[in-house]
Amino acid sequence: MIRYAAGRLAVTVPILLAISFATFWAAGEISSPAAQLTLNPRISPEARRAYIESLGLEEPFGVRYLTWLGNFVTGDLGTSLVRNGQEVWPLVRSAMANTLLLIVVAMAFSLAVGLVVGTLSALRPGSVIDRASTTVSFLGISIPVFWLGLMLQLMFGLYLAEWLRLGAPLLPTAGIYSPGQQGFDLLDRARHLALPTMTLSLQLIAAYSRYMRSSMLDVMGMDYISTARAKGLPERHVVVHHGVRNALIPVTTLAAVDLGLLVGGLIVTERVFQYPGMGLLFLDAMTGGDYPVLLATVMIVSAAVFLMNLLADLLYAVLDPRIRYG
Amino acid sequence: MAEHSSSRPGYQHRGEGRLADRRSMAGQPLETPGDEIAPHWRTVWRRFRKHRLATASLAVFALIALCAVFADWVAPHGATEQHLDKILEPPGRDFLLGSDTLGRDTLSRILYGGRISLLVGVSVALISGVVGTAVGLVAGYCRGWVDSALMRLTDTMLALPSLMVVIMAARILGDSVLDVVIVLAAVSWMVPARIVRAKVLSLCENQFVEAAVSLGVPGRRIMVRDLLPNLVGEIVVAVSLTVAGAILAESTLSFLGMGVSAAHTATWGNMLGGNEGFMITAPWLVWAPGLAIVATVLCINFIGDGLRDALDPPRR
Repeated sequence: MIRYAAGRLAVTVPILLAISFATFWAAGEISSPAAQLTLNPRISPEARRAYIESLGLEEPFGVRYLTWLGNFVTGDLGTSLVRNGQEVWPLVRSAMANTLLLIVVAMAFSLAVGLVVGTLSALRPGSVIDRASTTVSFLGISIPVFWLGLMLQLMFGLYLAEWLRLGAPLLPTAGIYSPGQQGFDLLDRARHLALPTMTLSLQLIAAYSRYMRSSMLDVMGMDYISTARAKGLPERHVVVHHGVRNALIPVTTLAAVDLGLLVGGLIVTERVFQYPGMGLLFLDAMTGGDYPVLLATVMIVSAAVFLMNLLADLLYAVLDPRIRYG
Repeated sequence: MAEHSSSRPGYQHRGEGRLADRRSMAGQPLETPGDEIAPHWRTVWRRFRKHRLATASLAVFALIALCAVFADWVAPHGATEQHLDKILEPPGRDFLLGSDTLGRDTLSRILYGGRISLLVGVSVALISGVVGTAVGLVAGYCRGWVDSALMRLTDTMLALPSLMVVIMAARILGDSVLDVVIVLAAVSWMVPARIVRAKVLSLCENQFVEAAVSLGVPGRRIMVRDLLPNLVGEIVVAVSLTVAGAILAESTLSFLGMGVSAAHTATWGNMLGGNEGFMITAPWLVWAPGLAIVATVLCINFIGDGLRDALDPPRR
């Protein structure tokens, strides 16, 4: 187990380096600050040269990459080119906090709903709840996340208020706090999280409930379940302690494999609801040509997703003692 | 799905369903020789038709696809035809699904846009199906360092946040239909590759492969003649589900303004992206293309599910 973990970690470092190199190259292709300056006729050639020099853009590609990597690893993410020379790290830190909050809330909500629904439909295949959950999960994987977001905005921001004859929209449809809000207000924050959470959760609930259903069906067909029943254990005990606990094992890995899906959902959800997280920061940096911010967001998100996947693989080996990786 | 699966004759074969599920879920190799038979297409079609939802979906999908392909005849207006005196017209007699800010008919744009969205979906699925099959076949048959190298690559690609990669790649490559297809195919081949590899590993345990190897049949021939025909079921299911994923991905990309540019042609995604701002004044501009996407993708997912049931050993 320890050897396996060490082996996986050893491969991780070169892979992360490769990702960083690809990211650095891609970010340069997408937005070269020098090119943008060249396009602006009001900047004098001298000023342009001085600026390019100050950014170190004259250096060869390899040197620039290594400099950036060295700075990045030591925690220096540079300064934004667009946001009045603001430092990148505080920007990224607050965006990360917002995104993590959204992830935790959405994951907790979808796991709770998905696992319960999956278990219930596995216990009674073909029942009303099974059919309903199947339909919902097919919808969940077929609705584009951004469109779901737009529809929820229309529904909760406009239609419901009209039908119920309320003066104001039922739920806020953008941002993370109300205009004029002073200080931190839990209720206000929760109301702003509601729609992004719903948007993000539908596809997660769809995935989790399907995995859980399929895994639970496997487990309930195992011999040790029959043994547990034959011993005269109450059905509830059999289902919860022998069934659900074992069924959760494969679901852990699959939940982690879906992290890529989650990030995709996040980018879109944050964009639709103007939620100031990593996804929105990434998109803004991309369209605004903010090279340092783009590098930082992409690097942090891909490293995080990659490491979470690794963690899930290791967790799988810990949870299921039968699994021994060679 | 559930209603027919419980009444299916093979329902009691729990072991088979279990193995099939485990393989498709964890992508782990499945080491049970003996139960692989290439599907007989008439049997498959008969089993597929029992899946009522899938059959209905096939009909609806065919209708959508035909309308898109023959948009020149079906569409009431041209995709770029403007009626500047009838801007943002609500759905009515002139424009069945309303008109947009340039006075273009939403229904016609959906029909023409469907061509691109479906074209992207199908091309991405075909390309990634071919690449994934090749990778999985070679990895599973050659084993050893080839397998390790290819699977490391596959796992690494799977462990990347794909939408982020796609957005950046699309930005670098460009906004034509071909660019979008290339970008999406580049991040879609991994799932087919893993499915094919797992199946190849189990197929190689069979005696017909052993026989071919001991007769001295070259590896390339074994892969193409002996293994490939037995993989058709898995490939068809994976490809059909990739079509759905690719249509969603294209619409997302175009919505974000990084996909097929609205300057070239309408797609369902860029219709939504361009009209988001009119959501309140002209909600049909957001409803209609979105429903087109949902209906199409839902149908394809149901068809894929029906195909899986018809091709695989019974699942519950």
